Amino acid sequence: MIPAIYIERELEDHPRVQAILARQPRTPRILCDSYGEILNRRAQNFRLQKKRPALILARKHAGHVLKAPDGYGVGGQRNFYFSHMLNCLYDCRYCFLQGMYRSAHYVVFVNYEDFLGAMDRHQQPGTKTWFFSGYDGDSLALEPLTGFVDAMLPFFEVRPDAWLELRTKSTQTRLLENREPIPNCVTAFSFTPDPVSRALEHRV
Amino acid sequence: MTDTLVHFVVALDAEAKPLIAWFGLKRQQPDKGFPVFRHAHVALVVSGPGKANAAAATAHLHARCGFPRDALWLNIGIAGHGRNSPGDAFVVHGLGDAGSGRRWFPPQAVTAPWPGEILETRDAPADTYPAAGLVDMEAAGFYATACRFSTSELVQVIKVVSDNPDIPAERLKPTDLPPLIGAQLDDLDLFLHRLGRLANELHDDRQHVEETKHALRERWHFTASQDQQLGELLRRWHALGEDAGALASLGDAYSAADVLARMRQHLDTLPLRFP
Repeated sequence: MIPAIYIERELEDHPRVQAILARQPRTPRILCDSYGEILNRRAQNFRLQKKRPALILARKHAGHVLKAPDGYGVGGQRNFYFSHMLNCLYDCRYCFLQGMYRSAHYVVFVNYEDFLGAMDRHQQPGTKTWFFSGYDGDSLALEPLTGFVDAMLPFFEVRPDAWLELRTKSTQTRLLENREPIPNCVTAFSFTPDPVSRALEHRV
Repeated sequence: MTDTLVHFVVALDAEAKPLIAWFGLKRQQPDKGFPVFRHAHVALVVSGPGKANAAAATAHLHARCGFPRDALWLNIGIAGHGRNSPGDAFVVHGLGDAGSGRRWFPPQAVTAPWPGEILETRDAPADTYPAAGLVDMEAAGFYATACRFSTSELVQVIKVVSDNPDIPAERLKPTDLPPLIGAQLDDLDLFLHRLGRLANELHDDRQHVEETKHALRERWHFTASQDQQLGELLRRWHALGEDAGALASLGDAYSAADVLARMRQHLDTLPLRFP
C-alpha cells in the first residue's frame, strides 16, 4: 500500500496526476516544489523506505531520451533509452538500483508527451531506432497506476521504424493482451530459475 | 512499547507532564541547561518555546544520552490549525520553516495512528492561521537537528490541535494542555512499537558490522581511511549474506591493506548460493 503521494506543486491540476490520485483516493497527498526535495534528501535509509515506498509525481525537464552505450542494444543501428520512472517495485538483491538513489520512493514523471516528443526528434523514418524502457525500474510493474505504456503504444503504432522494448519481470500484461500487437513493440521478460528468484528477487 | 532508545523533545512543561507520568520519567540532576527526564530507554527534554530552543535542546539531549545512533526522536506538542478542532492529532508529513523557507518531508515508513498533515514553524506567535495545516514554533528546529543523529524515518513530529481561528491560542490555559497530549498516549505507544521494530532492523545490521569491525581492528592496525573502507566492505559482506566464519580466510593477512584486498576479492568472486 502506498503510504503517501508527493506531488510537485505545478502538477497539482495535471490530468494525469488527477487520474492517478483518483485511483488512490485514500492516500495522503503532499505537495512539494521538486521531487529532488524528497528523493535526494540526506539522512534517509533506502532499506527502511523499501518496506513502504511512497509515490512521487514529477515532471522531467531534460534528458528524456539518452543515447544508449555501445553494445547495449539488440542489434539496431540507433539505440536510446529513457526512464519515465525512478526506482522499482521489485527488490532484487543483485540490482544496481539497490541504494542507487538516497530514497526508495517511486518517482513517476507524468509528462509523457515530452518523452514522446524527444523520441520523435530522435527517430528517423527508414532507419530502425530502438527505445529501451526499464533502465531505472520495471517497465510494466506499475502500469495499472501510471498508464505509461498505454500512452506510448499509439505513438509507436504509426512509426514502424521506431521500436520500443519493454524490459520487465512483471505479469501486468493485460494492456498488451487486450490490444492488437504491433511488430515494433517488443516485451523482453527476465526469467530466472525458481531457486534464484526465491533467493534474490524479492516481491517479483 | 519498544525497547529502542526513545527521545522526546517537548516545548512546554504542561506538554511534558503527561509523558513524564506515562513513562515514569525522573528528572536528571544536575540540571545542565535544559530539564531532562529519563527512565530506562526513554528520555525527554523540555526545550522551552521557539525553534532555536528546540534545536539546542535536541542536541543537548543527544549529548546527555551519550550520542546514540539511530534512536527514535519525537517532537510532541500542541499546534494551531486553520480548520481542525482542539484535540485532533496529526503526524506531520510535510514541514516548513517560515523563517528560512526550508522544507522537510518526514518519511512515513510505518503506519501512524494519526492522519498526516503539513506544518509550518513560525518564529513568533501569530494571530493568523494558515488556510490549511498546522502551525507551531518548534518542529523545524527539532527536525533539522534530530536528522543529524538518526535516519529520518525514525524522526517524527506529532502535533495535537490546541487552537484555531475560533478558539485562539490566547485563550489557552496551561491546564488545558496535559489532557490534549494525554489523550494520545495509547496511540503513541503503538506508534513507538512500530518505529521500534524498524529501528531494530537497522540496529541488527549495524551491530553485526560493528562487532566484526572490532574483531578485525584488534588484529590489524587500520588507518582512518582504511577503517572507512573496512566499514563499507563489511556492510557489503553482511548485505550479501556472508557470515563471520568466511572472515577466517583473512587469518594469514599480513596487513590491513592485505585484509581489505582479500575482502574485495572474496566479494567480487562470490558464487550464487541458494537456500
